[in-house]
Amino acid sequence: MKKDQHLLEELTAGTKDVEWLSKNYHALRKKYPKQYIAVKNQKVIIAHRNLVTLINTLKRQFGDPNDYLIDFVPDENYTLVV
Amino acid sequence: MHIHGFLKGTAPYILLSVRAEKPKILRQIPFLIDTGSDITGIALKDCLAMGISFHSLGRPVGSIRGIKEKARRWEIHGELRAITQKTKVERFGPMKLYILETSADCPSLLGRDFLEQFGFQLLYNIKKRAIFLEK
Repeated sequence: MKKDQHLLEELTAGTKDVEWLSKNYHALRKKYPKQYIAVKNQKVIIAHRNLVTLINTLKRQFGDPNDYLIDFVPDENYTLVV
Repeated sequence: MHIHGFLKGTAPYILLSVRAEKPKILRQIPFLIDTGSDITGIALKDCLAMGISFHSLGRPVGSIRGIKEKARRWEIHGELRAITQKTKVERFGPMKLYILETSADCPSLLGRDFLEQFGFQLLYNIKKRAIFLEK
């Protein structure tokens, strides 16, 4: 149960970040087009055009990259085809 | 059971916590709900964030082909966890997951395998900007 409580807290914090990302998606597209962003506590911590550089900068300056939501912000012309 | 999703632009996503032992994986990942995909897979950017090296994974089991590209894949077994509408943690698994050597901008994918194995349907109201997985 304690394990579940911890996971619930983590997922609740993560959900706030993804909801923030969703609500601010258009503004983020204008501010960080074609960039990778690292998000925590509803803030963009860093942004960079290169994913590996972003992850290495996170490691050096902010701790474990696994603690951050990392996402690609496309520009207006981007179409996702998977 | 309801699990809330969210929209990035018009694309439906869901946040899941992924746990696996080999390789060691513990990460919250926003998955694109991709009903066109047979498999559920973790994309390159989430692998890099966890420090997973593709060299350490051994031989790939094959590849996946999308409209645009082809990506090597490795099979692992893991568990997915989500918060339900009743603010309860639900666990799904163990299930087959794949590590995908995608392009860096590609998101992790939640495929039909998950929806079928656990009996979920995707409810998607674009006007209300509401996404749910429901069963």
